[in-house]
Amino acid sequence: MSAETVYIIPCSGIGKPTASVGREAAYRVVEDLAPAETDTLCLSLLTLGDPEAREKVRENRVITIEGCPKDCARKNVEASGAIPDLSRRVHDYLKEHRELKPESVMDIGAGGEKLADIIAEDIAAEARKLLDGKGD
Amino acid sequence: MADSRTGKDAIEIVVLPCSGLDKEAGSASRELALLLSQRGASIICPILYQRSPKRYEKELSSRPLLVIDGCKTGCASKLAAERGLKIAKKLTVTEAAKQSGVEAGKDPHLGKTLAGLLPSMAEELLAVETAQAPTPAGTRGQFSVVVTYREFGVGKFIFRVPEAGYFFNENDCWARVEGNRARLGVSDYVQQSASDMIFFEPPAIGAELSIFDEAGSLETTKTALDIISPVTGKVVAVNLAAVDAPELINEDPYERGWAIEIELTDFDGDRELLMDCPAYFDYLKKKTEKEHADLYGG
Amino acid sequence: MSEDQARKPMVGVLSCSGEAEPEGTIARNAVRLVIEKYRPGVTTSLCLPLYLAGDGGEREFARKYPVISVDGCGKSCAKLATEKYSGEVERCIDIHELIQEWGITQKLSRNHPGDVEKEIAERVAGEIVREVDRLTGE
Repeated sequence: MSAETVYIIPCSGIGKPTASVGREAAYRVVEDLAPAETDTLCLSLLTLGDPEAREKVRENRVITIEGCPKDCARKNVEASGAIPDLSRRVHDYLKEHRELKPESVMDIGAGGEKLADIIAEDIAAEARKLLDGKGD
Repeated sequence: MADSRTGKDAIEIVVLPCSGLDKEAGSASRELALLLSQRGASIICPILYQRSPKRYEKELSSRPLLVIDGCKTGCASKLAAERGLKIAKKLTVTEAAKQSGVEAGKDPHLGKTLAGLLPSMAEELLAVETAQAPTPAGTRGQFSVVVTYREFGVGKFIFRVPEAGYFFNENDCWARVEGNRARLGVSDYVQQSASDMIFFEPPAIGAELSIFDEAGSLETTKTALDIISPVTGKVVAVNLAAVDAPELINEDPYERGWAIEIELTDFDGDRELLMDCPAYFDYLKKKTEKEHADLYGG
Repeated sequence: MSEDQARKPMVGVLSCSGEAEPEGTIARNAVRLVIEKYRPGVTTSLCLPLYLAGDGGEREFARKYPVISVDGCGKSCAKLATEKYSGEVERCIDIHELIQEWGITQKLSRNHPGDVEKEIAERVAGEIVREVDRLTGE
């Protein structure tokens, strides 16, 4: 793991397929596309005041992935005293890729998998930009 | 009054550009706004507007709003949507440039190629000013009466219905009537059942609608549905903020999430087929309780 | 008892979000099994991020109805969140403890649940269902 890490924090909402897509995308970034540069952590630990989790987001960069326009991941990160460097909504990607609607919460289906791939590629690129000092 | 530089008539519009400083498209957005200001348009500084929205209240309430986004991040559009502003037209510089085969660069300085396209982008933006009927002074402040709500719960879901001023059909679409105008939209029940809105396609301005006609279509992460018009009339305005950010319909389905505005032609006749707020409240309560019972028994 | 409670018993099930651990994914999947397959209509999932952000009707529901929290590990985020914003939970299910109790020692995957992870989710769902039935008097 490099000195600085970008934490990819999905909302992981349990009620919507788009939240499952966001979670899947986060895993693809931290496990497949940018494992050396990124990691994830439990949003709820952060919000409930876990000191270790809070230190991680204060010392590093954060990208949130929102499963719906309620932006819970961003709000909960902010409530813990940190500010995300970037926040992306699954819905914005879905607007560009209308045909890739996920099927259900437990099984996002082929469309959802593809959407997760697209999101993951974008987020991985943004994470690298943040570490290079060229991010949003 | 004519513009002394161009000889063209001065334009009564407000422009909200993005404030992007790190890309060529952001610089182009600013220059485009300046071009329009030379023709009489007022510019809104997005940063000042964020801090002190009252500064621009007067212009925004009386003139059509044009929004210029540098890129697809859409910061200016999002700001307008958050403030519930009605957008007459918007333009995204990177998209408009692509149509002319030009790619906006990463260098924040405005290059000659992109600069050369700005006059035509300005004309494109201004073309809507004549296509849309300006809001007559007499209707200023219409649909601004404070709405109060009643609510009831089924399981963890809480449904809201306005207490007065709205009329509903059995498709859960509403008309908010003031004078000879009505705004149309979908109820809180629809936005909760259908889930997150991702597209809203309105009818064209000028379209004639009869009661029960399709008054726009919505697509959500779960389904696609039509707005069924509760009234008869002509479409005189469309909520472009909701077109750009359909999630407004989820956030505020009865007020900022309105879909279209209609000039009524037969409200007395239409009204007989509609439910007022108390009637719709009772209707919806029975409907949701029955749905729950049918799905899950008990 | 409110009119809602008199009409039909309902139980809220709140899963941790647990992105960092496989048990978090198992918690989510177990809860979905309960509300979609085993006890639909009687149970409802509460969304932890919405709950923490204070949005939606989650906190209100948890004040009125019994809640089962399903946590992936001993940090017990779902249980703590309920206690912080709504009240005591009826039962807290700790998946990490259950896995140890069941003698499962192999490494689990958080994002590619295989047969083992699915079987664990089914067993956890069974634990939740037992608790739901106790609370609803079934």
